Amino acid sequence: MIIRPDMLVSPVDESTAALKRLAPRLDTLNGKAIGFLDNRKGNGNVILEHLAYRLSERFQLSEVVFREKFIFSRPASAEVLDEIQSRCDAVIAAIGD
Amino acid sequence: MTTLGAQLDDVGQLIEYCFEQGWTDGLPVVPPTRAAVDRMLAGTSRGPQEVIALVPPKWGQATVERIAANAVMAGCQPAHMPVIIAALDALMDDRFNLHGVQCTTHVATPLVVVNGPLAQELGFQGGHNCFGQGFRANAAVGRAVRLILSNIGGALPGVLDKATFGHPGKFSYCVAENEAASPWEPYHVSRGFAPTESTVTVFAAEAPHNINNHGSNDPYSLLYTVANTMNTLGSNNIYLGADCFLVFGPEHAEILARDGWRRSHIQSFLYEHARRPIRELKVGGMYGDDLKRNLWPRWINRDDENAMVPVVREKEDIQIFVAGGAGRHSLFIPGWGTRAITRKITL
Repeated sequence: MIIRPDMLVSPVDESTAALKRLAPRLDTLNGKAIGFLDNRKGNGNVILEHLAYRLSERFQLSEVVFREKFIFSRPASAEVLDEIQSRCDAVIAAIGD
Repeated sequence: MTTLGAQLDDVGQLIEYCFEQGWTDGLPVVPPTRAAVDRMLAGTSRGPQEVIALVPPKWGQATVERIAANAVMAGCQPAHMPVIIAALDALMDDRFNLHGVQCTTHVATPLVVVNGPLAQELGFQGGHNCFGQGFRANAAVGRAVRLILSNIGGALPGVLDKATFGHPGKFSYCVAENEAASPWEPYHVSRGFAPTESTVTVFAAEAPHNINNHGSNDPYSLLYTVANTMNTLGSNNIYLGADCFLVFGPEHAEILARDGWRRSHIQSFLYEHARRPIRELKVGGMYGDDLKRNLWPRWINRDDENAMVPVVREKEDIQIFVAGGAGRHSLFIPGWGTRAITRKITL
């Protein structure tokens, strides 16, 4: 028997299979405002603070914006996301675990 | 080859096709043919293209038709459709936090509990071995819910489902309360529903942990064992609060009820006794000694190493129902840090 896809009713939502596009990458970090989003698990803040320190050594960042989620198991609040989007050119998220 | 043999071979090929598409939980599924899905759709009055849920993390649309396809695959009968739909509706409640549950490193997966007249009518088992194998309604409905979460939600193991271990309930995790053997009002009645209504409750749950007590014949010593099973250092509840479940076997329930203990009395006792001191909790848990991050009640003095932290923030968060058969056992089912959600089953 040759199986054709239309023999079966698909149990998945095919529209979710398409890969999402990545946002365009920055060409440089010099002069950029960088957000650091901590998921609020242990050591997420440690990673991000060290990363911000090291990036500041190598690049002329215009601003460093630290924000955290209320709790690791939920999305960041709309306020936090709006602020990061409006103030920052890029954001680095850490999943301390 | 005989005609029947050829037909069975075709079915085998369709089963293999479902494996190749990544639609299964690792076990064979019933191929969701058009005819089978149409028969399943007859089990609900909802239209095939009605969207019941947007399932995270990929936010796939759970149309009634896609739900029916997964229900066919799971081995359900058409009469199970309203139960599955009610379970999905409950999973969409923000207090359940399905997005988090789908992607977490934790073992938790939805436990589905059925109450009311439909539980018995549809063959859900709440007696002997009810958390185990052998009962189509339990097995198939639980499996359908899990297949929907994987297939429509897109939470595939290691890809977006980051569970370190998972647990066997991710194949199927569905029971009925043993209302006939319970000395108390049914669980859904305790949640505010009428006895004549049928409901589904969902809860992000670990696997059940047995509470073996053959020696007690009084509530205090029995619940001492229960309390000291609940106050584990490794579960989420004692760091994050929210709900947890106690499932009393009928024999243990009888010991409590014959002395007049109701759910509220059990909750009060356990809230007082299922505790651990801060000096032990800060060894590990979610944050180690960074105590201010734990979701403890504000009346816990985090500077007092001897402060006793309860396993839940409020005593009413201890959810209690009766299930199982004969035997002096009960179950503690820890949670992930979120709420049990109950919805009425509508036909």
